[in-house]
Amino acid sequence: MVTGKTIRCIAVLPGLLGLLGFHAVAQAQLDGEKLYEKHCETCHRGHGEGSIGLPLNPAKFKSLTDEYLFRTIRNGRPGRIMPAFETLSDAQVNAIVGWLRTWSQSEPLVDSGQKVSGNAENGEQLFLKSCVVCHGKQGKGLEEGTGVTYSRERQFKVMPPAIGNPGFLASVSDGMLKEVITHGREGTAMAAFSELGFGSQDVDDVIVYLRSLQLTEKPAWRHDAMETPDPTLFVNSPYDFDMTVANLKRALSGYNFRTFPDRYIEQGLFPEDEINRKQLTIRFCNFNNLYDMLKIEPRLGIGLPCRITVIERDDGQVQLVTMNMTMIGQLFNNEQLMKYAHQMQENVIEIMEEATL
Amino acid sequence: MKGWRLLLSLLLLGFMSAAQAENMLMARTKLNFEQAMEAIRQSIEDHGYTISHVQRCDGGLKGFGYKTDYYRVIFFGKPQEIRQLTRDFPQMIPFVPLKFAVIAEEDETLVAIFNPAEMAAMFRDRRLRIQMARWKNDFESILEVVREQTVVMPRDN
Repeated sequence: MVTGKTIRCIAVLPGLLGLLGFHAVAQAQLDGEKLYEKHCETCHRGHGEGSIGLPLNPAKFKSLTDEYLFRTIRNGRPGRIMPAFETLSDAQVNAIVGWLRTWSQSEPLVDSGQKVSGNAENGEQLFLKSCVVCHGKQGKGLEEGTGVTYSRERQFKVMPPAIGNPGFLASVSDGMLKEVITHGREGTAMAAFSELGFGSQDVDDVIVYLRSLQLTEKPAWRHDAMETPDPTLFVNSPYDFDMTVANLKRALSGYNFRTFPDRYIEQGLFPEDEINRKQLTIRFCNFNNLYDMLKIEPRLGIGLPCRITVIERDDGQVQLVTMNMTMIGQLFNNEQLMKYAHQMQENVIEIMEEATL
Repeated sequence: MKGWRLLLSLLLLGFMSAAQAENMLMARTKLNFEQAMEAIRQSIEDHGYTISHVQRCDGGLKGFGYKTDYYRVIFFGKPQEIRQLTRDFPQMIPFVPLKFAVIAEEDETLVAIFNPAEMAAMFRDRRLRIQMARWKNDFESILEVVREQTVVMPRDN
């Protein structure tokens, strides 16, 4: 029932939210460094040394426009981990760009905004000859993830960027692309096309080819996940609790998974004699796959380990419960990881069906 | 009283939708791995949660001959809250206990968790969405403590 008090509470809400919003924007304008620490440092490190994200090497800042940095923060890199920071205000994004600029003495690149024209077919041939080795097919990046390589071995110390990524292409201007391709990138493996014997028209052709890669539709890997829109998958078992657990373990071993010791959901939270023993989690892992996945997504641990929980409801129905990996996997914003997620999902569904046949 | 509860709920949901850009909540600390583990443990407990166990992912990987730095997953929750949630919302079972990944990167450490505000969009129930908004506020606060901490004193217990 809506009372007078309720109405008064709701009436003050817009003012309160407005005040909070104003305060947030004012704070943001003050401190790009703080915003960088909160939103960027985890992936790019404190001085841009790079981690999950690419290094923000000040030596290359002179080849970047401020607009590129702004749009990169806004658009992110769909399917390449970096999120689109859509809820930061323009002032907040500009504050971060301003902070990054303090790292370098060089002036930002100023771009005329002129579009280039050229031959996409020739550009594709040049791309296949000189760019694909580092930037991958259609500029999607190599298959080993993003950013800087630390303890897990990969082909490059710094994984080359995905220059066919729609977020990159929506952020970069033709003029900036031309500058980078023509002159290369100081402090990186990116060579100058001018030194490789390519002319100005060749550079334009590569740019026209890259522009042809720009996607307008939603990427397929996100569509797939929406086919099963529930975050949790349930399968009813016709067997009793103990038999279902035994069936599940047998099915897992057939799929080359190693299982960990049984664990009740409430274990470690309640004293042993108070634990609900009708919620048993069977945890499992394929370490070869895990290693490959961690190279692609170092934060994968927040979804680990793979697990299926056997529960017995109050009405006696036994069920297998697990997360919808293709749906939850989307939170990683990682197209390469989604290939594994789809495979794992298929396996887990087969395992649950086998255990409940 | 009910009015204030409604106001609080609306505020929490408002914050939740205002934070939907980042799918994960993360913090980087200059603390080495052991110190960072202690800092995150203390911060989790100081926020009223119980740590149920810690899983050593690096141990299994090394056992299979892979080279990897320290990598742990900390499982935690509020006991009664977890019991109530799994009873009322079985769809939450795969997501509890809650968990932070703690990842060593040379001499620094990274801590990450799913952003509950993003997960809330997947669950239709209003009570769950409010619960996740609360978690989001707590996790941000836990991470903020870790981010700001430069020295960790072992706790006497």
